[in-house]
Amino acid sequence: MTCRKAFDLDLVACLLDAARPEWSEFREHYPRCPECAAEVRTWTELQSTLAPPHPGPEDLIRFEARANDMDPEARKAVAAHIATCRSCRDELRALHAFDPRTVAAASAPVAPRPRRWWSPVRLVLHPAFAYGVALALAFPLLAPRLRRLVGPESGSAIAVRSAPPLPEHAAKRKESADRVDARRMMAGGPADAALDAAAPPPAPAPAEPNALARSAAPAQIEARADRAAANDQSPVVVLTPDREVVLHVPPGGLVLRLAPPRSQPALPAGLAWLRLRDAAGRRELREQQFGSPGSNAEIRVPAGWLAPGAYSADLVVGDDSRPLTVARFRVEP
Amino acid sequence: MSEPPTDWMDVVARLGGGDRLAYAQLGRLITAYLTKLRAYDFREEWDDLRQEVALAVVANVRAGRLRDSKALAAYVRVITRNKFIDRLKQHLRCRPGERLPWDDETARAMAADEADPRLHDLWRAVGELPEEEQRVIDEVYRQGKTYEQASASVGLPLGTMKRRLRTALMALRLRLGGEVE
Repeated sequence: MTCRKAFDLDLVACLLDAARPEWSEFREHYPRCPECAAEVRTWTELQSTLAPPHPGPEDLIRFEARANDMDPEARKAVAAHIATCRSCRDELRALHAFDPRTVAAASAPVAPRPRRWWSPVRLVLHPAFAYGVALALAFPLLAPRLRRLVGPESGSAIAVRSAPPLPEHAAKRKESADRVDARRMMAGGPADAALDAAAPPPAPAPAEPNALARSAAPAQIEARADRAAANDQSPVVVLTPDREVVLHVPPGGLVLRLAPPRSQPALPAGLAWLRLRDAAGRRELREQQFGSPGSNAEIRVPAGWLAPGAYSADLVVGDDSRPLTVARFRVEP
Repeated sequence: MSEPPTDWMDVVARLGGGDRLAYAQLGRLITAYLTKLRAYDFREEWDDLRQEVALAVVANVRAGRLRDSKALAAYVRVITRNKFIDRLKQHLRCRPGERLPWDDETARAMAADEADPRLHDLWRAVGELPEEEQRVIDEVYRQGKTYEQASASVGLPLGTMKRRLRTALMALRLRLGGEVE
């Protein structure tokens, strides 16, 4: 039997982007079909022979880690290549997630398996277990004597007391804080701006919100610095498109966070940039964003870069012409 | 002038020390194989597979089981393919021990580690295509432009440009078909 599927469909279009949903049927078919599998391999070889060379590993590293230092043309070329090359996007993502400790652990000598202290036999043989059993057996005999010794008042003193009820407003705040923390954990990270706005002021922390950002005018809504990032103490300031934020930059710099628009909840992995520009458009700082559904874009900004003045932060994909979302902020001395 | 062959043992030694460049180099080798296997048809990203392969390579080198650069590259090729095929079969819900035609095709593709010499003539064949088709191939493949950029550059509507590209590729494929297999 000879299958003609590979010849009947637009194989060029399919193999250039077989991951698309419209090719799902053929994608599931060709690995099982000798004719189609052979045709797919031939086309793959043809296309890989024609394909342009990938950026070298050095270029990818520079692009991933220090894109701002790259020559703009070189950066543009790498970005254009990555936009069309899945394997380079994959490599870039892997570089971003690279953790040297994982490699070090790969060949670490296997530690002897610790003995389980709670294994049933060990537990029964432990002296504390014998004391416990003896005490449990002796308790019915000793209890009346103990009660006589300590008296009824002392008895009430060792009873467990329930915590006094919280005043109503404090209870509401606690409940709200618990809810926000739970939502943050479920979201896999700090809450978004809307969530922050609803939350009560956080407990005093290194990133005290109002010390960094405040209202500029009645129309401008105060932004709140989020809690310090987990791995360092740089405060996080959330920017949103509809508010202008006024910042006071701490000496250690800060992290600016921009939520993607609701219309695009997932950042395209490896393609998006969070870009900061001063009002004159003369200075620019950008950081590549590795998106996952619901994630925010973040950029770490050194204090020295944020001179007093007006700035814009925008989220761009691929070329710079169509930012997904734009937020404005102002730095005050 | 061709580049000197990569000393993979050195790459792995540097990777063991946490060198990002070494990770990028080994990653490039793995993703090249993933591309040959058409792994990206089935998943946009293969971070876990790449990491598994990289860790297995480092562990084997440290344990003294891989001692030379050539063996290391061959090991990466074999282990990447095996791990990918295992996942593919899981994805396709294959029966245990079932062999797929794609198994054989990937084995052929991976065995041709050096590009097929007949494919070297492909660019010469491109030169024999009609000029407008050559231009489209050049824009998309040699210059690596997106379809939109290429269509703007050659001054053709996107649909026309795609049709021209397809015709050109079909011509090349027919030429290849006469020579391959």
